[in-house]
Amino acid sequence: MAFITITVAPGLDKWTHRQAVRIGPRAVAARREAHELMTQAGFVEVGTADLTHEFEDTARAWHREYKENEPELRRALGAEYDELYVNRKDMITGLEQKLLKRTMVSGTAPAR
Amino acid sequence: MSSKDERQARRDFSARYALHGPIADTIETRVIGEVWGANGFTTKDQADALAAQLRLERGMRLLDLGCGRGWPGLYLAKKTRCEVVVTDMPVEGLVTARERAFREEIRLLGAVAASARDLPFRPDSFDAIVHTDVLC
Repeated sequence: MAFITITVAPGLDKWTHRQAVRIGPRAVAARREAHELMTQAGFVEVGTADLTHEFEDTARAWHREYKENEPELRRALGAEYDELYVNRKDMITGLEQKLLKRTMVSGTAPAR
Repeated sequence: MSSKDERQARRDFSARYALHGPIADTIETRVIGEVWGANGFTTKDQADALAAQLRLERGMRLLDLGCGRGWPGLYLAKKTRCEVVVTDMPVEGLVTARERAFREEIRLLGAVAASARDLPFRPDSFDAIVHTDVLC
């Protein structure tokens, strides 16, 4: 199994953690690290790679493109445009404040 | 996440998957590096890294959870010639994925509407599983 996921950065105090959950993607609230959960589930050769830097680049790229193409995108998406725009802006803010991170996690299911 | 949250997510993502056309393709190419209906943060380079991690090759069976319109599962199947099943909850995305797989002659074994918390597959049905930016 290999996956990429966005999570709250580790080591945040309670208030900052709550802030990160608020501005992060809707399912970002897990308190345990994904690779810990993989190991606990029995996966072996569990590895991680930090993709936070690239995440910020991509979030900024989406935000820039949505801003530059607003009229056409607003026509196509309607109300969803505002939600996506704000969502990505919040994510950039979260990254600037080191509240969020993005990680590739991989592991192998143990042989039965 | 509650099933109520899943229903809300399904409604929200259904609206996003309605975005098509030249401007959407241009934007996706600039941001992701490919055009597969992606609206998350997984770039082509990262998808290629997933293929390498999973050691995907012809004949393997891949499951993509929360695939949206098929990214990156369909791309990985096209690149590596593996077989793929894609799953997600918004049916709109799965319809688009199926149409794309047909056009690209990708070995799509199924496009299944299901929550990742309750998958309708037997154990050991797949050689590899991938998911990216689910509910992000």
